[in-house]
Amino acid sequence: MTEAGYPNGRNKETNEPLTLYFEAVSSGPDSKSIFNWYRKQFQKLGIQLVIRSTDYNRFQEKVRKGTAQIFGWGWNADYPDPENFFFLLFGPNAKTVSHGENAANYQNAEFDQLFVKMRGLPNGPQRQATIDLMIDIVRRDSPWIWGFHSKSYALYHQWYGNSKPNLMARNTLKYRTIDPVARTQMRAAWNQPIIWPIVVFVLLLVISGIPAYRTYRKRQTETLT
Amino acid sequence: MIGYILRRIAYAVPILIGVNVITFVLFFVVNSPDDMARLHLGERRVTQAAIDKWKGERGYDKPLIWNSDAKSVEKLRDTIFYSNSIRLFSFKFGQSDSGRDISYDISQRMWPSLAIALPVFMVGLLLTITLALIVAFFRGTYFDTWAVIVCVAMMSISSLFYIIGGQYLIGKLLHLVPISGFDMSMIGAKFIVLPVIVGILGHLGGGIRWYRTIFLEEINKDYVRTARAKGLSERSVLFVHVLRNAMIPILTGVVVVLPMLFMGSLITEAFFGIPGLGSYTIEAIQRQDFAIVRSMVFLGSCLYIFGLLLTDISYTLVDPRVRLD
Repeated sequence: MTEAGYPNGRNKETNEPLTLYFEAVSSGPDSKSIFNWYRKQFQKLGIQLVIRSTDYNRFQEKVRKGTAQIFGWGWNADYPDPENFFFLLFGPNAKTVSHGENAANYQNAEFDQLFVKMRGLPNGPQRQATIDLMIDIVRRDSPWIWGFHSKSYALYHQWYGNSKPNLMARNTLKYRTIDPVARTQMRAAWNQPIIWPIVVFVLLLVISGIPAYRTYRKRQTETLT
Repeated sequence: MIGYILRRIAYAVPILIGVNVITFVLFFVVNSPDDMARLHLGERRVTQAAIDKWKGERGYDKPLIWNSDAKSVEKLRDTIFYSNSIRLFSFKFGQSDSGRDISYDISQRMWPSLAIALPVFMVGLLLTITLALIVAFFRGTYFDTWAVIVCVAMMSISSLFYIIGGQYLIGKLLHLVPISGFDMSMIGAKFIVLPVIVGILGHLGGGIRWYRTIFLEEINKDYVRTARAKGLSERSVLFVHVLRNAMIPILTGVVVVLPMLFMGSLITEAFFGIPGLGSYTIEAIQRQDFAIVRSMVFLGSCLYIFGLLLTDISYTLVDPRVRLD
């Protein structure tokens, strides 16, 4: 921070606090706690983080125009290859340049050169060495904050098979298996209806109706005196 | 009366144009045609050429409401608003933005909506009127006081709570019916029970209070005293004489919703996974499918206007003193 001209989060010359803007898409109460957490973490560094919450259309527009300062976005791989993540940082793919998928608009000539080389290489030590070099460059430049490592998990019934949650393959429905016999048995075992509360409710209703019925009868047989 | 009906239909035209304009403006203030194209094409690798092609295919490449490049009347006609709105008046809904035939979708999805809305309406109305008459009969007693307390409590609870509470208690704890789902066959009846109970309960408190007020007003009139003096039983006084004379305020609230029944309920259908017209509209809003949203709003407005007209006509049937001219 001192090196960048903001010792203790304040501008060295004007003494004004450093303010950063986070473009957010709010999606309910959960988002609020996440944004508060972000704010607190930046506060620890003496930086004021302003959350600019908006709808997804406006958010996309800001990213397209390159006017967003900090934002969170994700990418699920299309195929299991490092190329599918590195191309998100390839200069010519920059959002503001070609409406590509490089949303951070990262530009590094050395990285771009290595990327072009890497994507044409077959898997092997030479490709791995190129990938390692590219990772080093990206780590140094840090166009992204490497803070979020999602872990997939899912709960399945016993009759549902051949399934493994992952962030790579999407077309897995055709591989799933279902054991219909086990499903029918377990459904029958788990879903035994519990009737007695309904019976008690109806009885209470009938009992509470007795005084009302007696009043009705009394009124019907009442005579003027 | 025919003159009156024709006049009302003529009045409906500017109302429907107004509804169309408001829907159009509200939708396009939030979503531009480019936003809609992006949502339909997916988020990845969407080129401007693909967006332009998508818009061109659906007529969203025209100016929104005023085409300054066109000549004379074409300034108004060669726009998204005109080209999409005018055919609605002949009930040609066209294709949705994802390419489906909207009229076909409506004809398919109105039945699940009706399967829920019709029993909710019929049973609900019968139950509400009967209970309101009973409460009116016991006016001024402890029964009346407790009924008012229970009704106010029921009115104070959000309808969302009835849905979630019903699903939890009846579906999850007691295992009496499935929590959600739908099937058009006979075994599908188990899916309808819970939404119907929840739909009735949600309106019961307010309904009983409203009808009780109407009945109490009638009960104090002279003809009721005469009926009692003639020796009629309280049952026939209430269910025959009071009920018939209280029909006008009842019809005001009831007939207007009749045509709307098949439009379904947005929230109930979404929560219970019922593939009706309510969930159709909600899904269209989420997918930013303007063609469906516009069609459903237009259809809803038409049915509401038709319902109001039916209400007026029904007045003449229950009360011979009412004349429409």
